[in-house]
Amino acid sequence: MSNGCNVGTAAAESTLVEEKTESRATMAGCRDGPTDPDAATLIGEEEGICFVIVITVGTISRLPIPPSLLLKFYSHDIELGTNWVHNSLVSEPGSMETRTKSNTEFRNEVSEALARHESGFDNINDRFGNMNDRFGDMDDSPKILRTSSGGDDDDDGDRLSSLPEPIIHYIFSFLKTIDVFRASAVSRKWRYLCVSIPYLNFDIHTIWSKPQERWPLYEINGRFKDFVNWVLMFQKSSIDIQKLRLRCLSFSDDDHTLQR
Amino acid sequence: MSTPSVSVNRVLKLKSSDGEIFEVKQTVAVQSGVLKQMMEDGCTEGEIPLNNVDSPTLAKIIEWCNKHHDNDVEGRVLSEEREKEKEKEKAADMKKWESEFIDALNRDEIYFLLTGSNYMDIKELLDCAAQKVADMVKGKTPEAIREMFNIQSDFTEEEEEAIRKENQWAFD
Repeated sequence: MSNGCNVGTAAAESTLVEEKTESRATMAGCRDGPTDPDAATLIGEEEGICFVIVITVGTISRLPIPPSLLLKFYSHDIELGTNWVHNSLVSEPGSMETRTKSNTEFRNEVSEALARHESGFDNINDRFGNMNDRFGDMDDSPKILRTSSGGDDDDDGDRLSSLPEPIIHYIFSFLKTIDVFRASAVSRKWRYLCVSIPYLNFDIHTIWSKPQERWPLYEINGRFKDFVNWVLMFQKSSIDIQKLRLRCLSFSDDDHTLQR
Repeated sequence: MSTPSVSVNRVLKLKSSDGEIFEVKQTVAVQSGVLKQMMEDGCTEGEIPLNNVDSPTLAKIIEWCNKHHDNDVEGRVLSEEREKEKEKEKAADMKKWESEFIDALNRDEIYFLLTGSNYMDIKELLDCAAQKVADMVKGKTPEAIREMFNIQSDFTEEEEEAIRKENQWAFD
């Protein structure tokens, strides 16, 4: 990756403030080469018109972010003194011309640029999100119950339980929640998967067969509510439930004891 | 079903992760969300590498798509009533075919089919395979599931007891 070069070219081509072009090019030129890839460069501060900070994102982490992706912070001191007004993720330099424009025009332009590059942010977020998920998994699964046995995990056995998490969740979405929670007692990994599933499907008839013959109605409802509350309580709070299906016997009207 | 850029006679060349080339009619390939998108974007020239799908799995996936495609395009000249009847028959046949198709697979094959259909975005196939696995788990005790999937419990005895108490509902 040749981040240094990209930075240099990008800054040189930028027409953000025309009279600064020369000094910017020089300053950015200093950063050519592989050293200090993630440092920020502050350029063109006289007259307080504009600051440009160029940060390369490519080599900060080992993520496969396109090297041409440059993070620039634009500052405009009109109206707001020296406050930062906008920051914007720009992959194609040289699109901003400020000299002949009114404040409103400039703002509009910046907003447009922001919108255009929102997707760029999203991409990066996704990538980081994926990374985090992966790290999160490693952290999370043993946290649910502390391990005392060694590294002999369930992975040497069957492939199915090593499927990617979304697919396992998808498979579980075909099950009633009672089955999912039966499965949660299989192993640590399964337990983790079960409490992080975004689909819930409670069906009283699959929990107990013929409950009406075993208990009076109020007790069935009580038990069912206990179960639902218990499951909801154990759900990881960071999970957004995507689908919830509840099938129960008739509750009495004034009963609002489901807690979440 | 067909999009403007999809022609009946054109074929796509799909390249599996182990380098084997499969030729698939465009009209069949549209069942894959990914390939459909590629066709709409007009970037299906040459070989299309499917790096997450190996050749046995890709063969299975194509078999599935061919079957479902055949089912879709058979003649539509019958009277309406007759057609409805026929539809029903066909749906039943298809269900039967699907279950035979999926039952013939071993667990590893299902695993690759799940990842493959997920990757290629073929919802019906993914649903079918997921349903199959769900059926394997449904109504089973944790012990039975462990045995079936060859999973060692990594809970301690105390933990297991605690879970058992928590999960009374499940063991009732």
